[in-house]
Amino acid sequence: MNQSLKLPSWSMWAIGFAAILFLIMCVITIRRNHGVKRSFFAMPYTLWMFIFTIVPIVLIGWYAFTDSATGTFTLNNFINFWDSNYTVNKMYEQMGPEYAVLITRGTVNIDILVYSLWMALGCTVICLLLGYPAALFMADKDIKLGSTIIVLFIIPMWMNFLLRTIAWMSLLEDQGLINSMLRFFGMDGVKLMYNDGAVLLGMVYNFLPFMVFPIYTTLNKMDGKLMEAAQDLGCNEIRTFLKVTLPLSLPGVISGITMVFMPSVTTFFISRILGGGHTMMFGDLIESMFLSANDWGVGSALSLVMMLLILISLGILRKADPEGEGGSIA
Amino acid sequence: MKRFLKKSYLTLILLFLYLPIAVLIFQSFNAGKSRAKWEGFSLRWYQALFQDEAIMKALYITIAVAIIAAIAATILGTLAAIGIYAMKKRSQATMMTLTNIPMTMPDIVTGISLMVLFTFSRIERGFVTMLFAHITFNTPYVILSVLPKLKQMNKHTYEAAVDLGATPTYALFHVILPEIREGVITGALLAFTLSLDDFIISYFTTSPMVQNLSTLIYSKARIGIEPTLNALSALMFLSLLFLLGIINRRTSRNVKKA
Amino acid sequence: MIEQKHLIDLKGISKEFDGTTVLSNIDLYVRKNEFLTLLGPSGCGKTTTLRIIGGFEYPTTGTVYFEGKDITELPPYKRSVNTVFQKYALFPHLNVQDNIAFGLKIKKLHKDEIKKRVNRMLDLVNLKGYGKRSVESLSGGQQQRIAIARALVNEPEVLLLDEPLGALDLKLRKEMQLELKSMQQRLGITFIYVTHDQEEALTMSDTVVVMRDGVILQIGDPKTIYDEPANAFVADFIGESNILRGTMVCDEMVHFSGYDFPCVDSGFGENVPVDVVIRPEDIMIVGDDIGQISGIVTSVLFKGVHYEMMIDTGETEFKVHSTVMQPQGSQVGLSIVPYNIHIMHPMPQEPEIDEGGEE
Repeated sequence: MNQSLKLPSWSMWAIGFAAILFLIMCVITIRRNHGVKRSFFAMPYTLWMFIFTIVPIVLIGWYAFTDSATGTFTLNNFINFWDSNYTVNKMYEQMGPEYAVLITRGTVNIDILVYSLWMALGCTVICLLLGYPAALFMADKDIKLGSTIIVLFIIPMWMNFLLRTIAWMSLLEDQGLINSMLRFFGMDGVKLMYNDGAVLLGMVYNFLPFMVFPIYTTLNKMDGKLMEAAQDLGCNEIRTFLKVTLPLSLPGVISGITMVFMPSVTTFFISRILGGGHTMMFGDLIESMFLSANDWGVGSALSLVMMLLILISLGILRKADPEGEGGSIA
Repeated sequence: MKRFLKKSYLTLILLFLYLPIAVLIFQSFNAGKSRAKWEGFSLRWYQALFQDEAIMKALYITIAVAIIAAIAATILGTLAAIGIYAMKKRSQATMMTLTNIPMTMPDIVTGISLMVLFTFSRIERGFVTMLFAHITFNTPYVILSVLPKLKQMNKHTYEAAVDLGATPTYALFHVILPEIREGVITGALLAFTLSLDDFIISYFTTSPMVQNLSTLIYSKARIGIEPTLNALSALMFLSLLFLLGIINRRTSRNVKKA
Repeated sequence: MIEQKHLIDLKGISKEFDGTTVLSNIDLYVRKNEFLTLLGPSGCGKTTTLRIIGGFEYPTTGTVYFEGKDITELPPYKRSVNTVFQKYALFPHLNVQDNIAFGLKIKKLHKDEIKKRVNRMLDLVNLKGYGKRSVESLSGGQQQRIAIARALVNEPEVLLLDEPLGALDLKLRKEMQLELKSMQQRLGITFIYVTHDQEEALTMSDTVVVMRDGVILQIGDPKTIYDEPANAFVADFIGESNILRGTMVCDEMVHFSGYDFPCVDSGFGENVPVDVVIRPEDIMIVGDDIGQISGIVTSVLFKGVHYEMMIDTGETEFKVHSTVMQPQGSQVGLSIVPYNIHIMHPMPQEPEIDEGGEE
């Protein structure tokens, strides 16, 4: 452990310098504090976020627009990302035949992007279809579930999510629980693992609570008298739902869609475990560009594309819910 | 009848969520190593767990990072929230944008951009870099749980304290902090659990020499997970449940008091 | 007794928030043992003035003196001034006793001394035995008393009160007004009181400062403010008035509503436009034939103590208060004693006078 903690001596200087700077900022904050300027309390945080959020993003932008060899401005990284041959060669070169299957399937670069978007969309739709009724029933005053039910939805998230996903393997495997049961009843086993379905299942499993919480919150906050009023004015139960409950819960739905869609586009682990490396998602591509192919330029370009996608989808969703009423779990 | 249907639907959804966890805990008591075959009840994996140096080290690192990151993020975030609250509208909006950036940025981009930063400044990745990364993604959550408490506060409370002779520092510790305590605790717990569970950002900001549980599990996922890891996560899961029980009792006591 | 010595002096105070002027060039002094009220509609700058005295805001220009010393830049915790806040701002995490003891603990007084003083204060505000209660369990009126006790226990030279009775219901407010006034006289502490309620201001104060749009319109004792308002705005804000356009014919003779009336004011010059203010209770209803002017009663409202009648003379509609009711539609004569006709220079700009002036 001590070994691994060892850093080059000069980097200790750097950290020490940062720490001293930090302390100075704190002291300034407290000194200033005597002049009743409490806004200075945010100084250390601002500094921290500048170093660890703004600077890294700027660096990513810099790598995306410069040639790694010459350091001059270029758009080649984006062009290379677009060009299948470049990536195919890169992968052969860097990652060996293990990835040949990807290349033959043609799921490289732009295909991966489209595939990721489709998967994320599918995951979001399934989560919405499964999650909305769940949230509706949870908020149902007739059943009187109280806040216990929300805790029941939170608890599974405390189990390490990698392990939870891996646990699905033991259920889905050829020799796994489900297939064993099928065989026990005299049926043929089914191939459940290593396909799109398994990846989708893993994604839905991980992100479903993020759909349920915001919808539940908006439904729970809703004034029960509204529904009574609608019924009083002659709506039957279905009409009440369509005309009152559903429109009023839209902010929660939008917030839920955001919270599911964004992590599903960028997930990079589930596809590897449950897809068995046969499928690759956008997140996997970025990761391999940085860690396996060692091509920071294209990797940064991909990251920028991803951030752009997120910003666009956020912008669309903000338009639909300008007041951000949906709220989040926190 | 309708009620029964609604309840069964919820039960099915919960079953879906708990199924893998049940399988996982079940496997941790399996005498055999196979994931599929039950070879009798045994505590052998629990025994092996405490002798597995790699796992114990990863556990130690995970908890150390989670505790230090939670404390640092809580201090940084609470101070920041107080500062932001005292700012004028426009700077407040700027600060909230700054806070929202890491929260809306996909984890993978956060992780990679931090990795790029560390590599660029030639800082070797390891414990410290992972810790810094965790503080970075934790702090916004602390701010978001403290700020609403500040907004709920009577805006003259601070002034009242200063008016009665308290220096701003005294007022901070004796008036503002007690009032926003709940938000601070929520933020700290949130930071702790987020840090405990994080994989993606840790993966990019640490070295293979310094692994937390998540990165360890990931590195073993392809070779095959040993049941010892199942045993460990079963234990951690139960201790978190225990923690929740304590917190719940504490809050319900508070409710009674008020 | 009010001493002549100035305790607080505000010299040329101006305050801007993001480019908008909230106070412009305020000059004001407060004497020892004085009960001074800053009165005006919301947004007139009265609270900002109080906050500058308390040290919560710093003036953009101008100086604040306390006993002759410049305290403009002094932070609140170094001023011997305490404040009772609008919504009390009690510390919810402390009980009643600890709230009151807050300032004393900072001064590091001895435990027994603190206990003695806290109990004395609880006595003073009639909340004996409430020490251990949580502040949230108290009613609005009780919280109000605790807020006052918390400020007074520090024995400040000046107590600042920012609309302290605003959240209480009418009956309780009246009680507290009297209680505050007697407390102030007993303890001999200077009170600076902010309110928008003119009745409250007149009941309690030694001196009333009427403000509007960041400017002081008039300073004076309640009687002067009521009887000799400096302009039509003050007249309208302090109680109800008939405000009319008129012309000064010559000294001690004013023309309005189509007739010449004798009055007591002089020195305005001849044929000068003026504002004429007459209080509704100062117009006497007399027989149709003996009045200075006559009119028809157009509406009658019962107001409890008196009747409010609108009387149309053809030229103007007068508001008249009287304990004797005249039936609607009857022809009556009106008579005004010269002393009750108040003549003032017209406001520099056309003021938008709100009906009644109360919020």
